[in-house]
Amino acid sequence: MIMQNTSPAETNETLKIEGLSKAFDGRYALENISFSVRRGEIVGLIGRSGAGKTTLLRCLNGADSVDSGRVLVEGRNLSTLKERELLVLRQRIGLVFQGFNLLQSRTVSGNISLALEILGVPRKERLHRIQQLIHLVGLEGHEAKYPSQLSGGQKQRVGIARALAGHPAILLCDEATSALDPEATTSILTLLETINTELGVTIVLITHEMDVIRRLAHRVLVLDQGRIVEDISGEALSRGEAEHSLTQSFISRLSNNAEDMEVAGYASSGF
Amino acid sequence: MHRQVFDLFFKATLATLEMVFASAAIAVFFGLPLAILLTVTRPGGLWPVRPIGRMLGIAVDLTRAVPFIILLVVLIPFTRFVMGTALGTAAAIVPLSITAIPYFARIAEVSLKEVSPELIDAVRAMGATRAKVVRSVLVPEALPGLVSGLTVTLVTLIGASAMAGVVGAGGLGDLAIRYGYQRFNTAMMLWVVSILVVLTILVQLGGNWISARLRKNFI
Ligand SMILES: Nc1ncnc2c1ncn2[C@@H]1O[C@H](COP(=O)(O)OP(=O)(O)OP(=O)(O)O)[C@@H](O)[C@H]1O
Ligand SMILES: [Mg+2]
Repeated sequence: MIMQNTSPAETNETLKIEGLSKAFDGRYALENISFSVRRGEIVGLIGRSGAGKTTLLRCLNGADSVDSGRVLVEGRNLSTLKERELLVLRQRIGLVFQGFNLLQSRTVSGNISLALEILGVPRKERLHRIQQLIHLVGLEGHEAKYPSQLSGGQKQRVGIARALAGHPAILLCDEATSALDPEATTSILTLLETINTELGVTIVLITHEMDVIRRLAHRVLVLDQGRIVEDISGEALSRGEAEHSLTQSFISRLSNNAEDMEVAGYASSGF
Repeated sequence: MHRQVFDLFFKATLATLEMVFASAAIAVFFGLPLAILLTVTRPGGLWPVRPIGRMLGIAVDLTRAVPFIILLVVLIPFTRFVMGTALGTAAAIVPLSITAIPYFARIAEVSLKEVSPELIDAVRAMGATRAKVVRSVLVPEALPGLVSGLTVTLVTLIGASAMAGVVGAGGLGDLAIRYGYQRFNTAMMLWVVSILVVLTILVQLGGNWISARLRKNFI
């Protein structure tokens, strides 16, 4: 279901980023970034507000172009793709947003349908796929509701169902749980975990919540001022083996609930 | 009211409605695409081709700057060319449409601009073409506002259609001028005004109702 256009050599690297740089108005937002993500991995991306996390994620699906360096998605270089090919490739990358970005004018089914329409799925098959996706994210009985009638957690489930419509190899989540209360956060994390283990979907997620990292991330990248300052496995992180002071402060600051709130406020007050 | 007088009013009201709704339909047909172009060509928009946006913007504003009463006269040759005559209800639809198109375009543009750029960006990032975004995101998300805009346009057209009576357009305005003004028939004039007021209120209430129904599911 996942791999089609990949040669055997690349099958283990869903994502490969080589020397990626990107500037806005002469200032680097991302500077010489290199890393790769293996198939089935969950990578957490953390860093202060303005560090370049969102920009990096946007470069991974070609929403932003890169100034130099390469982004390879399943072995295909994004910057050599034609507009049409890029659109097709984007359909293989699921996106989940902090603000959900659902259409208010469409129901739950309608919002999922949008993704299928973009994929060019014929009407008859759409209904069946919508049912599958609704079942997958646990929204049975809410099909005909509008986003305004859903809780935050339910809205994000719609967002995730929509992101999964094209059988994506990769799911990119930008603060997918930041707008949710702790309970909804937990349920969304469980869902993401299921998607990863049962569908084998590779996940890259931005977060400022240590809980998300602790529960999901196999590996953590720490971004600071557009550079990767730490690339550490989840286990090493929980053993306290982080080298960079930023990573350590991230962990320690978030070990305490009161400060958790403060950091959350700080992070969302930024760009 | 005499049978004949009633007929007079009935026909005039129908003529007014015909002028108003026909020109409103034309205004939406041309004005909505215009509004979409004005919206998407803005900097940071879906299709930021500034020269096109600027040119259309200037054309729209110039047309809007001409007072309707002058437009009525200026357009007489054009109307004659298109409709074969510059007199009557059908002919009045030409100048009414010409004012209503840029009017509706600017109002519609306001609603379209309010659709979240982040949402549009997100749907683009999902791999949607620009045309798909316009069809499935921009217009449906702006629909309640577009209906409100159409309501305002209809109300303005009711007023303008009465003014078109000056150049022999027929309808209620024509009645007011021929009987009320030229023959000093005050009762006739009051009746015309009352019917115009009622039409305006009905259109406004109907528009509000539809818009509210559509907005019901919006946050
Ligand atoms: N479209 C843009 N135009 C100009 N500058 C931009 C643009 N997008 C991002 N930037 C700049 O690039 C830098 C990185 O921004 P980015 O949104 O990637 O940060 P972030 O790590 O996601 O922050 P946050 O945690 O607040 O979401 C910031 O300095 C920001 O001002
Ligand atoms: Mg961000």
